[in-house]
Amino acid sequence: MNVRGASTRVAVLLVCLLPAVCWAEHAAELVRRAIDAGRSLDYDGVFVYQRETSLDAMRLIHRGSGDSETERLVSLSGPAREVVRDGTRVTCTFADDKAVMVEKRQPRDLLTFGLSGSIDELTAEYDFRLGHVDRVAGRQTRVVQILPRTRDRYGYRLWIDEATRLLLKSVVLDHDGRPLEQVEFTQIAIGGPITDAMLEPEVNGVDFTWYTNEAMPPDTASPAADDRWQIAWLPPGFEMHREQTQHMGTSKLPVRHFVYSDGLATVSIFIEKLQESAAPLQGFSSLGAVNAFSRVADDYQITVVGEVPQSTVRQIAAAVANRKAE
Amino acid sequence: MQHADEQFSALIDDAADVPPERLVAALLDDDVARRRWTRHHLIGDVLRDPDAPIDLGLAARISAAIDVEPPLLAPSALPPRAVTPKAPASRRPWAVAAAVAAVGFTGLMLAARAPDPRSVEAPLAADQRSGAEMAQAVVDTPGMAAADTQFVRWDDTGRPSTTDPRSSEFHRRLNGYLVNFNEQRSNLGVPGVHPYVRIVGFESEDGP
Repeated sequence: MNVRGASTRVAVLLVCLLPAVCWAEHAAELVRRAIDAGRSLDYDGVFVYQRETSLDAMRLIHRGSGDSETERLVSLSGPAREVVRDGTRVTCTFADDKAVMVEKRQPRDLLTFGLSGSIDELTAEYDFRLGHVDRVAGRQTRVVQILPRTRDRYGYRLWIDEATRLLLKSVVLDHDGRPLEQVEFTQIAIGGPITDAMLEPEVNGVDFTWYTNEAMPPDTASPAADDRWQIAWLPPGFEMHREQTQHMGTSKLPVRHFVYSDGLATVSIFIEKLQESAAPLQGFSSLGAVNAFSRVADDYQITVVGEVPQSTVRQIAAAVANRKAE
Repeated sequence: MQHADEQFSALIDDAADVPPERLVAALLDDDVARRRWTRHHLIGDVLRDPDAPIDLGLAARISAAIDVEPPLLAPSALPPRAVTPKAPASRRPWAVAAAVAAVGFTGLMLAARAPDPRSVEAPLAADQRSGAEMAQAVVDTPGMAAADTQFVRWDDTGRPSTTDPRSSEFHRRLNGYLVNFNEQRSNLGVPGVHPYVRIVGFESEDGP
């Protein structure tokens, strides 16, 4: 092969590959804009949430304008439940259980909010594809498909509003492309005024049991914080984004919390000292596309929760080790 | 034999000339037909009651139909879970579909049992294997496998258990993990499913 012929082939190859790269970048950029639109826009919509054997209707009222982001999520079917998030805390009200759970809200990290990786990092683990045009809730959307390159994480199919970039429908896919759960707006008003009254919870929390959580000061000593923990294995591309020791309303002792992400999927690792009064958790759990696995190591309860397959949370949990003895 | 569209119409009208179970199976095997059928019902429900944005009957019928699909995530050891259909009793075809759903998925489980000492050690310090190999080795221990076989509900906030008086405590602890995970999840990654949707949408065991 002469040099000219080789150059021509390289040029042809580049021409062939360039659109795919550009489309991937375009698709990733659309997703970034959808994340920003979901945070900054005002909207009030009804959507359906389908997972496993059930389908529920909910209303989401979101105010992104103003000083702080506030939203209220209300169940329209099944038990009366609400989640209200403002700038400082998350309040989950379960009328059927007469319980209210209040968690301190994590401040937005503008550097890692949304897709945290570069396009190169993201496309190393996922295949971004720009899909067809479709209609959702009477609005024109563009479909973006994000498929994992390995079986240790899930894929996503997103319908993004062409006018506002708001995400109107999303499906979480397993490694065979089968839907695990999906959310789809059936009607939505975007840009309308969201009043304070619309964000007030309807469920009365009087006489309910309240569980509150406050993050601990960094220097607070705790049984879990005294030890050095190592996560010996994570799927490729996952990096730690947060490490904190916190009080959880549902645990008597402080809990060590590690947060890992590959830019799209998130995994939380919770470590706490076993309590004599509480039996240990051990085994699998799942809720839609979220899987959890709990095990006991030494005197500690380890629970991994993530929007990744069961086998992945299990392997991560198995890879958590205490280095204190060394 | 009727055309597929006619079959589904007949199913809805309770006038099918073949067993409803067979029609439901055909529906579930055909994505196009399933989407068409879903749209058909959505339109019909909205036309019948314009003030109701979501028809819960639709939800129940879709849920019942989905129940006949094979489980996606459940370990093989999970016991079958009865599904409570929300559709009115008069919707006979969907009562049939719900009956077929006896093989439905039971997720939302977490083992609650005394720890097996064989499962708790991750011998990392003296082990020269890679992290993935060591993790897999722990996964493959008998205790880890046994942990899959006994379950209680995960996200049932505070509801007394019918089998284990301690399980309500398990639920609360797991809910705490889930809420904290959701809060982190809301700041990171692909927008996807709103993280708190899973909490609000959870259907309790004794619920409607």
